[in-house]
Amino acid sequence: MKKLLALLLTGVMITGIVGCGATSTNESTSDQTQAGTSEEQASETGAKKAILIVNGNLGDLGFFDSANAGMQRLKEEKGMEVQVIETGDDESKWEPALADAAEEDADYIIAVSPSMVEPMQNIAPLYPEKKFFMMDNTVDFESGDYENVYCATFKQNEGSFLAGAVAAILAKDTATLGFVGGMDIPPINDFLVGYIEGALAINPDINIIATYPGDYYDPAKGKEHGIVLSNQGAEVMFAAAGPTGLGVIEAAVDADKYIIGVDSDQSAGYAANGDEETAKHIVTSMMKNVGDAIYRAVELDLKGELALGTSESLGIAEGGVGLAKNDIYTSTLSAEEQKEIEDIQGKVIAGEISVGTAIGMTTEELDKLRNSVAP
Amino acid sequence: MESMIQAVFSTTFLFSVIRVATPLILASMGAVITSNAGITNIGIEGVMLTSALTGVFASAYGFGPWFGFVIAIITGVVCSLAIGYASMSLKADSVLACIAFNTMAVGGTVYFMYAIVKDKGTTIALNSGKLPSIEIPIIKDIPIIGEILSNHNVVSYIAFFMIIVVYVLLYKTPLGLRIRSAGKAPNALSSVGVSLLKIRYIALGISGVLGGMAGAFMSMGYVTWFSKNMTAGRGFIALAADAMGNSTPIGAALSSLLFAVAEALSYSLQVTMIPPELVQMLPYLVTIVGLVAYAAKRSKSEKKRKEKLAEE
Repeated sequence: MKKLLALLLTGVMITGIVGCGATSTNESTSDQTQAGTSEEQASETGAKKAILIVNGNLGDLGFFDSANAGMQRLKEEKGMEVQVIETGDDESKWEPALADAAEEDADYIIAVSPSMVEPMQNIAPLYPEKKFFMMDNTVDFESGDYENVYCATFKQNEGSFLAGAVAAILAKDTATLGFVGGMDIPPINDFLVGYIEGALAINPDINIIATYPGDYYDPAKGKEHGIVLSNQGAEVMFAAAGPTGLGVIEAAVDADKYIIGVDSDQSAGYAANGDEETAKHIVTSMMKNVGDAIYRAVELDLKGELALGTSESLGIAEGGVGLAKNDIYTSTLSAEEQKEIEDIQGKVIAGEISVGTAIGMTTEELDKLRNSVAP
Repeated sequence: MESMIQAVFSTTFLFSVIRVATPLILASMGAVITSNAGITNIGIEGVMLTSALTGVFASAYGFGPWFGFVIAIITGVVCSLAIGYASMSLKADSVLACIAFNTMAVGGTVYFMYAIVKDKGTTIALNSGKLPSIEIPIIKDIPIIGEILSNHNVVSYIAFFMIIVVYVLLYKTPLGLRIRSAGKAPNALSSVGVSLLKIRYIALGISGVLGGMAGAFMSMGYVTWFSKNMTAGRGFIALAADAMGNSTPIGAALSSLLFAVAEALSYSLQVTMIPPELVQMLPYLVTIVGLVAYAAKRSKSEKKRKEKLAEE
């Protein structure tokens, strides 16, 4: 009996360890029986291989899932061999995972999180024959020889500008909006700055309350923040806070307020799960099209047009960011209101409106902007 | 300043205090039972997390939220007993066993979530249930008090009821006496022929029931899905509440409420002009102040006791 129990406990522990550990899903186009010959085939047919490092886990209904979708598109449309490596949250595994990927017979090694900059700077110069893509942040090109690295950042401030405009249009009663940011740091405040400016472009008297739970993995806390905001009269909320933001969504649904999704089309995500009630409160989403950016970079490189060794900033014009214009969006906003958004979007693309950014903004400037719209 | 006062002295603020306090009270009651039995059960965080997940699964694939609630409690008991088996019967270091269990719970829940829902972030894809909110008949019609006390999730009421249950259990029943002697005088317990191991297992089992309820509240009351590591350290805050409350049910409940007030303040004060960093610090500041106040009080009473002894 004791032995049996001990055995059982060991079993449970092993599954636990496996659960924590890095899992690798090999999405290669060849199946198991052909695995041995796939390498040869790859070189014969000239099919390229790409590896995506997810320094977290898939299933975030956002950033990583979007990147994975881009990889699947490469597989389907370009016939590439793709592999996705999930490292989990353990920071100590990120650099080794990147190094392992670089050792593999891959042409492109792709990382999609701001936190991967340092591992990228350490590993990329050691493998000059491989191409490294860094999404959503940039390596310091000044500090070393990164000729084989391409970086793309997203103008989340431009996307948030449109989100703010939509929110301001919808806040018809109290003219008050809410914002929940994971932490009070420049990349998150970049969303806020765009959101504020976009809302001001529609309604100069708009009020915006910004709060920061200080935690990305506490949905209950996010819900409390959402409740506080809706009690303060916020009619539309926008959360850039990872899973904590999902709690804000739930608070918005409970209070029957609008919410704007982030990173991917979250309304579609909920609708796919059959949760129509939540889906219809997510009036639109500010999407960072990471998957499209990966696809675009590989496509450009195949044509030989990719500027390796540089960093690019993808805005609305490049399709890097944008609003999810789904059924909920088109049925909630009237045709005139939608046209208003299109006009603003056109002006941003044409450069008539330049959206401010929190990157490089001093705390005093940011506070001034935040306080200017505080109720 | 005016908005600050409005934010704090409102019925919604006090309402949210009760909501925030619910998991803390339940988990701290579990901690009270085990620390009275002489066990440091820091595994309560992992117990909560595991129960939160099994509750969601059971309610989605079984017979609704109440079934999920029961399964969450059973999970809590099984997990607690497993920790006890490793630390007491197999004589593993209890702190290490608990830490191992907590770490395993974080990874293991994600593993099983992925195995079943094919999602490593949340179980939003599952149509899991929500435990109902309850309006209390007469109280709900009283102004102000009704707004604060009525219409809470049913688990919140269970949590406050549990304070009484744990108090009665510890101080008014033979089992409570045995649990307390297991902590204070284990040899005395053995000398009257009561198995120390058995009493400690029972204590762990009861703390598992309470931890399971706390977990069920997180995933079926607070929000309606499980998300990775969603307990976010609430089990540890409950342990601090237990320590601050000197392992008495009333003390631990009051400490939990104090933490909840600080936590709720940190939410509602963010709409004011006070910098968010300062506000986020509040719950932790309250913890330190509380622990210092408790330590000061204790050393004073200790001194008095010694003086008294010296006089005699």
